[in-house]
Amino acid sequence: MTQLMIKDLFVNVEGKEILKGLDLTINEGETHALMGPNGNGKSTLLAAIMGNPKYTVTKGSITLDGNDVLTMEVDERSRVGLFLGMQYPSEVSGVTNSDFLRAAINARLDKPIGLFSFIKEMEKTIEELQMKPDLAHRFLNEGFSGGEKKRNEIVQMKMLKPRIAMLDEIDSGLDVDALKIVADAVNAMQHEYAMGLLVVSHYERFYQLLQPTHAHVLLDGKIVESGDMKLVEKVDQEGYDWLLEKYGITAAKEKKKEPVRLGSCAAKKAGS
Amino acid sequence: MKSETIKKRDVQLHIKKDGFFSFHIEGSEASQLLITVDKHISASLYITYHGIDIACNCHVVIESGSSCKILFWNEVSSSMRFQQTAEVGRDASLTIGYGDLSEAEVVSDVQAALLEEGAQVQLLTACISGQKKHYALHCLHEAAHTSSQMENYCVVKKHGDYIMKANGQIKKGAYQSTSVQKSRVLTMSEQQRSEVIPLLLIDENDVKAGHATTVGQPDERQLYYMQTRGLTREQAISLLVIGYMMPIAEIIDHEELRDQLRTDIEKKVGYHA
Repeated sequence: MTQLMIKDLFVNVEGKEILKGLDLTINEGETHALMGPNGNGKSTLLAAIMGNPKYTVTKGSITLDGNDVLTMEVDERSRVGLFLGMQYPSEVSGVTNSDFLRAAINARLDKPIGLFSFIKEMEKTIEELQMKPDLAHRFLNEGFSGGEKKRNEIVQMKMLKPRIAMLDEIDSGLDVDALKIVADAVNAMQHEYAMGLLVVSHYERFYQLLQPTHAHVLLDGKIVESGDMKLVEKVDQEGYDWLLEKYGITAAKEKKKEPVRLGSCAAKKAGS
Repeated sequence: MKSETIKKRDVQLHIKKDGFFSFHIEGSEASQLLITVDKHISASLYITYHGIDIACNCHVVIESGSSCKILFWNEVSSSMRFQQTAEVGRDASLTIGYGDLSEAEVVSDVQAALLEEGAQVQLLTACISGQKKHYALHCLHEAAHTSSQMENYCVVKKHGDYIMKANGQIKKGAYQSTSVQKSRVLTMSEQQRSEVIPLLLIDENDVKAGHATTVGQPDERQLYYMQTRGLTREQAISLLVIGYMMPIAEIIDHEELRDQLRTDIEKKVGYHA
């Protein structure tokens, strides 16, 4: 059975400690909703699991079926079955979606996938996500709308068949119809095989469609409350204040930009 | 794919009918090549150069109403000096690609003249530079309603020395003409030199002209993104490099040729999909 286990995880970003002793276990077939105000470490957790070089793990462990994930390169993590659907996928000019995906699939096979079966599967997946058929021949995410990029992440996920998939605000930038298409595709995958899911989203709507088995609230670098769909609903209705009060925490807040005051006009002052 | 092998010093290719033609030229230190395309002909030419220490003078004439695509592929082994002039007539269109994966030192000088109204020229270059690769491209607009486009791709490796001087010149009276150029250079090492010099010399008011240049190392965010899907860093870089070389392999609409060039490119960058 597949199990991703995170224990007492501390993560630094550019010298600032973001995660401060986080524990989380995801088993195959489970869907975990990860909530919390912006700037409290949700994306950091996902990036640290995937191995983004900007994030430094200073303490703790991440294991997949007992194997140490932290010693693996990013690409190795992908090949052992981790997937991160990104909030802002990169655009890569000159590399077509199909060449990229075929290379990614072949990277995890002993014998390369036949061109014909690859094309067939890609066409099927593109159709399922209701994307334009020319997707395969377009350059990777180049000139894609926000929603197209997100759906393309799901196309890749479907074709790479990860054991544990993480989705980082994959629903932002999607309209209601596209949200449904993405959720259906994710649900269909879980129906096919017991993929584990860790989903970050700000919207209850996406969680309603995915029906998470577990839900967590991440505040100030730690998971402070865990539960199920009821917790998602409660957060949707009441926000995070009750939790902040309960645990006496000040949530890390993203700095708001103050309007710039230009001061009074010197010319006018001189004239008056 | 059938290819005609030519070993003469003076080569004249007179294209009188539509179609795809492939030539394999054994060059010398004083090769001459004259390509003439008759009126109202639509032809594609794939020309490979072979040999050691080649110097070639090439002249291309595209007569009115014709459309011609030529892809030169350099397979010379030590050094190649290539000088080319081209004349494009009324409502004719000429596309020339210069592909170079070779280890040869290359100095290439191309001048294309858009002589009559409606003439179009497109020049594309793509090379991998681990040694001297110096190019000078010049599109000269002599008449109104003409358009030229230059597109250059280069991957510069350790000890590479790449210069691209691309000049779009629109003369007085060549109104409503367009000259655009784009150069993309990917640098793989600190021990290299690469220089792109875009020039636009415009003597007419009613024209459109523009240039875009990017020179830089592989983007770390792109590499990370590709790695999260299971590609090693080396594989990700190879895919980027192939992306720089493929546009030139696609200028002639010929599937067999494109596949063959793609295989050559993949071999060159050590990539096996």
